[in-house]
Amino acid sequence: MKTKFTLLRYLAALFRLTQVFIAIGLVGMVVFVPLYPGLVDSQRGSAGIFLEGDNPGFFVSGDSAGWTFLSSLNSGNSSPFRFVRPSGLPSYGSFSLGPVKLKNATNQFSVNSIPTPDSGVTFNNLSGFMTFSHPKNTGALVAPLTAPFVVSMLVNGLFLIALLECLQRVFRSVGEDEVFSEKNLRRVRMIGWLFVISSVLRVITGGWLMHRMTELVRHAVPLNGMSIESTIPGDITPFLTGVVILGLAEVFRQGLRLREENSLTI
Amino acid sequence: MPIQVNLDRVMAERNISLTELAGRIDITLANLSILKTNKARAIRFSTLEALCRELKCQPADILEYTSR
Repeated sequence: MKTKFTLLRYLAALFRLTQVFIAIGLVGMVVFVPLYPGLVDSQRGSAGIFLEGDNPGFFVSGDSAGWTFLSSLNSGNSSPFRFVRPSGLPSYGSFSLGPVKLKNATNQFSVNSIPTPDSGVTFNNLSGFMTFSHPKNTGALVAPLTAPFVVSMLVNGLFLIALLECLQRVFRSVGEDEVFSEKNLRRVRMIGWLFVISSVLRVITGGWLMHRMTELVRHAVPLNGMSIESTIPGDITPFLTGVVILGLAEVFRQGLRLREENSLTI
Repeated sequence: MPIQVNLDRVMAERNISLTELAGRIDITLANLSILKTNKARAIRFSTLEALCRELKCQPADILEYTSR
């Protein structure tokens, strides 16, 4: 009878591993961010803080005692434990942030086209990561970003850890033949609420981080007539997922009622 | 509950213990006890049949309807 729950047990173990991974990433972030200025100013490494959708991420690359390490934790849309590097990783001594969206007066950026100069090619907006190579004072760049970044990562990371914990407990209880129980109903509802609440929090903290990044670029970069557009990052998907899960919890509640009745049918 | 289970009365008359009856009709002792103490919500026909067979009685001997 235990064999049919093997998948659930493997998933529970995998979730536990993922939680550890995420926790390590969160601790790493708290440890690394204060080190950014030193790392960049001494040109022994490069660092960055970025926002993908409404999920924050960071990267650090450095050369310490002869071995190079690279770490980047992006609690991204689909995969919470994916290690990514933004493409075009700069050489040491730089600090990156983004995405930043630039606009000029006409809202378009033209490029001379190939092969004929008559036909035009325009970009409608320029959006990407901005890299400060050998900045004069990295501390001043990092400081305003620290608080929103840490809070944003914590919100994302803790949400994922809590989500995985609930799922794990549900899977383990099913493995022990306890499927439709009060406890599991509570866990399913908790999962739904986690999605709903975290999606709201993520928009708030992501917007905060984006705002700080935009302000920083405005002050630190001579824009020559270009302006920066700051949009509040938001994704309604987790919110809807949470609502759907709460709906399914009601289905679960019916299952609970049926099971209770069945268990008292001799 | 309006439906009373008079299992203990019939068992006393036939002089058979809970454990022995449970063994004979392939029901766990716990379930039989739930049945006996009127905590069950429903009974399967297969269970009722097995009880009547072992206790050599009619369903009416085991189940009684009281209007309260």
